[in-house]
Amino acid sequence: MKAKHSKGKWIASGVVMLLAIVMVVGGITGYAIRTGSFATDGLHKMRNYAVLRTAAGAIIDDIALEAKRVAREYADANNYSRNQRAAYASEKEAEARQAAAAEFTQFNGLDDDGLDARILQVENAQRVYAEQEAAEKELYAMQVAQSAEANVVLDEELETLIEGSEVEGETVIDEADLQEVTEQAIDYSAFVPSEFLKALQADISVQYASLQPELLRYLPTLTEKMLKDLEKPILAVTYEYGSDFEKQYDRYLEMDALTIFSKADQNRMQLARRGDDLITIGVGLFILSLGIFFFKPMTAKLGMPRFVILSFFVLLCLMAGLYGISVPTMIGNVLKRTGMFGVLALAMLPGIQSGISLNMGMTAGIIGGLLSTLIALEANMTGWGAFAFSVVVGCLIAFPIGWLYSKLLNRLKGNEMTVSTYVGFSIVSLMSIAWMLLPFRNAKLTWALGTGLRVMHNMSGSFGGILNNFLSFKVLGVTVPTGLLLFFFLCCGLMWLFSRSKTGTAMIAAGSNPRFAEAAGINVDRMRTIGTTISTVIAAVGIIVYSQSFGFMQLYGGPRQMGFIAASAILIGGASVSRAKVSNVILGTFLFQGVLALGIQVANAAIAEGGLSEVMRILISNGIILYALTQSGGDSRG
Amino acid sequence: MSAEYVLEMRNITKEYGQNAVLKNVTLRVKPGEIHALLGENGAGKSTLMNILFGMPVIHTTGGYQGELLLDGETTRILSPQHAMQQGIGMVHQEFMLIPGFTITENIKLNREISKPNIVSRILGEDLESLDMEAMRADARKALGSVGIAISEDTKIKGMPVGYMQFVEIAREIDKSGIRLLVFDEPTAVLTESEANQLIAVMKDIASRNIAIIFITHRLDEVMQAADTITILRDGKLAAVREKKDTSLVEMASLMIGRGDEGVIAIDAQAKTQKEQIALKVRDLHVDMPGEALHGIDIDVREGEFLGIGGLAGQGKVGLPNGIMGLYPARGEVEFFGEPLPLNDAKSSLKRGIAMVSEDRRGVGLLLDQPIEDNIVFNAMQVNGDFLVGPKFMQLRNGKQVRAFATKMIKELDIRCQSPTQHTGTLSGGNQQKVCVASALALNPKFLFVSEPTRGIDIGAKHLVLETLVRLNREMGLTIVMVSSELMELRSVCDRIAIVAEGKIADILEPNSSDASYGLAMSGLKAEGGEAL
Repeated sequence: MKAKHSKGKWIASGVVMLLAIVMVVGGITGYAIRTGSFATDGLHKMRNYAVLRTAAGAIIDDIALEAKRVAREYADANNYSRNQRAAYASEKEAEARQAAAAEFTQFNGLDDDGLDARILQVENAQRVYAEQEAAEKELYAMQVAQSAEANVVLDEELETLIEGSEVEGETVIDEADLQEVTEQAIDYSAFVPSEFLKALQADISVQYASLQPELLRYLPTLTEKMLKDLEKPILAVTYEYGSDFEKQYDRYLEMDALTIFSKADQNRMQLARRGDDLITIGVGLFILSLGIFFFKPMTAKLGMPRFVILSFFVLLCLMAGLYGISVPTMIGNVLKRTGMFGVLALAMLPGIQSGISLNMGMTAGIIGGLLSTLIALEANMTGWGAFAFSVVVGCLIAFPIGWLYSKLLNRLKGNEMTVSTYVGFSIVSLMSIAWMLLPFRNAKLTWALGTGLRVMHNMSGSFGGILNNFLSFKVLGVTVPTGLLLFFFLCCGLMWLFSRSKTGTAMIAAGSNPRFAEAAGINVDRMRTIGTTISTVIAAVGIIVYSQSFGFMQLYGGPRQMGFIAASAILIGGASVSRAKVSNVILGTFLFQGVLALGIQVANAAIAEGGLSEVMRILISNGIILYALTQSGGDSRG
Repeated sequence: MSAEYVLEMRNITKEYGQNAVLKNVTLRVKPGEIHALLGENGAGKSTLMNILFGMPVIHTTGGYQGELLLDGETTRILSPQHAMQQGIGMVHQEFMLIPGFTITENIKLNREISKPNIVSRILGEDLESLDMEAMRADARKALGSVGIAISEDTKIKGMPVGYMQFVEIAREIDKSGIRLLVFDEPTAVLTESEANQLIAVMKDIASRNIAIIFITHRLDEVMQAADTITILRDGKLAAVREKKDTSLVEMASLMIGRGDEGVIAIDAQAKTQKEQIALKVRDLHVDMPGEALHGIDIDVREGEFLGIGGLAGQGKVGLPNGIMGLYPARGEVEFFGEPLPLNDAKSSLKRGIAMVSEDRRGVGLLLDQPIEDNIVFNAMQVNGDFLVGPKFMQLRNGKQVRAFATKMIKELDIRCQSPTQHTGTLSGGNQQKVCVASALALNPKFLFVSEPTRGIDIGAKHLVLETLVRLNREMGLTIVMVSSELMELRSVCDRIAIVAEGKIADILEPNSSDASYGLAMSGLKAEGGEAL
């Protein structure tokens, strides 16, 4: 295999690999410096400098202001014109500022024990306070969440959110938005700090007071008033809740703290700061070099589209690392989304296998799942019982729907894609009327005024998150939604077993070559009916799994896009409109949801501008769907 | 007309890659004569006509060698349009007519008569309006000369098939300056009376000094219509005869006659024929598009190797497809004395009749599935083999499947990387072997093999045929093999039934004369040389 690789490939991957090694070595060196005493001491020095520089700032400002005042007086005395006066004053002010800065920013003995110890004490007081405050607020949030009013507030926020997204024609709410709403919804205005917390807050001021003499020692010209005004800026420099090496470094850097080092030491500190970025880039280059080297076998094994998406996924992971997005949280998020959408994507499988191509009409099954969940909610069922009830009743409702739907498809052979897309859309619209009319009475489900079901239903009262939390554990900061994944893999396993059964084999044959199947005496229409019905039933289960994981059930326009999401996932996984395997579903859902979740987060981080990141979000999600649809031909046989 | 011949094609040689399809063929057509061009499928008739019409397929595959003379002048026909300008017309076997247009519009398509109007005076000739009156008059004249009484304003859609043929001819006649017309199997879709009318029309056209090349396989029509006959065989010129100097029997043997060349040498062991009738077919009609059968009777004895031959489109592959329930069939079929329900693929399979389809890629295989799945699929579905587990949850027995597939791959010498390779990536010959393996997996009592050697190379051909003979001789499997290759049938079969025009024309021995095969293939029986 290796002998086949051309010389160019060896050179290219070798060069990239060399770069990667340099980066990683640099990064590791940076890490070593960071954990060593040089960086710790250096950071202390920088902090001390930053504190003093902040304090000096007050003096410099004072001097500059004074110079300006004198200049203006001089100008007034000499009858300067308005413009001349302003120019003269600012010139004088700048001169004075420069002179003062030169005079007051040279500090000796930054590692002076006295100053260092005082600042440390201030910091400690701040840390103790911040930790206590966080703990108390968390407790408060939990108490609020349990009370009913908060839920009402939350639901109102959600409805605004839905209305907002309806305008853009996007009915699937992004999870990041949802999290934001959930966090914002907790109203801290009624939060009452404990006595202990108040005492801790007072202690910070006490510690600051004891820092003042030290400051005066370096900057004797500081006045009483200046010291008082400086309390807030200095406290902002010294400590911030949850800050690490990088944040501290950046904070001190703003106060030009790096200038205290010699040129060589500056480089070392910068290396320490950028260490993990270098490692990330190094890892990226390493993967790139492997990608170049194993390009042919990889693309042969995975197929070009999967290689492209996988590369994009890796790139996004690295970018997320560079932008400082928490990687474990992200991976947990991707896992969750995989399980959440996986069963829905699985619903595409029997449709494709039985020859009706992409079953966009799976929304018919989704309706079944929504109905059964509504019944469970109406009856105030909770826990596993509610979940089991929803799944079983959902299947029972979806079964006849799927059967009827398959009869329709059998009569309209050759136009399945058009018919199923039409059915998918029209049933959503039809049900939008039904949601208004169905006789649900539970106050939790209906609009406060008038009749009809609400758009969004909070599942936390019944079986929201029941699968996600089952046997869920945290490893290396990654929350693994064990139950959700187990359920997804269970469904996949069942489908895999079915595909090996006599009926399953016949169904797949009928789908991939109807004339072959007929020649073997197989009733092709019956096989299509079986495939369509299974697809519809899985869709019903899929939406239940989706809702419990999402935490909310969406009615009305909610299910409209589900078909496209499921189709994109399975197509990205390497299926074609006429051929699919279980592995396509698993790989496809993971890649699609991974790229989607990461892409949105990275876009948000890269473009801080709110409006633009929203545009990016739509571009990314629809771009992937479009790319997936171009893959509907699937790979060449092999 | 100064030259002796309106068309002369001298020493034409055409190769597709390594494969020579025409070798030194010469064709001379005099003005005003009906010149029949005879030959089996694949004898080179269509290639010769493609050269005459300058079809792109000729130019893109490296052109041809030899000379083409029109009225004594050397010409090279560059494109079908060019051929038309030279006065060469073609009446197609498949109608090149637009169903939604009237007869007039079809006849005048792209040669419309137009008159200027205001817009066209400004914007150019493309926008001139049609002179429908003049066009109708022309169409009426053309229709009159082919002798059909039908309004020129009738739409093509819904017309009887025979009429479409005449419209097609009328269109060619209407072209001015036409000097040579090619009729490609014009009588294939016509009733007997229509065919007679057509021949009359052809003679009428010829009398106007327009030469006609008449491509057909119906020898009796040739005798009826043609003045001169050129016979092609295997891309070579077999003979040129004047009608008065030849006979049906001679033409038939010239068309087939290969003597013993190229016979696949398979040791024809003597064997004991059992007398029991395995398959008894009475008045079987099969409605298979392009290969319809119109009522055939045949008995197949147990242990026999029966061949079914005939030209393409005559209905020979209709027999296996009809009995296997792939196309609607009616009639009476008995299998080992028991009546066999028709139009029910499963019941045929269940009784032990297996089939290797002529449409390998379409019907015979799941191209996206591994070899092993293809081999065991029928056995699994029909007989419930290769399954494990309780009745309601029967799963594929992977181990057993793999073992059987490996055995078959070895026995039939299927060249593949592994039993899991997809059949779509195999060569034609190996795909055919997979089909045979799939049929054998059913443990059949009776095997239909349809065109087993189509599109596969010589070596694979040999192996497939050998395998079939072995199955027949050693295991006593009754085999009915349908093939377009007469040589093949004659080298392996015990008896050969020739199907022509949806009926069995004759049942012959492998060593019957070439003439009787030739006659049978054009629907005639050898004895007495009379039409059936």
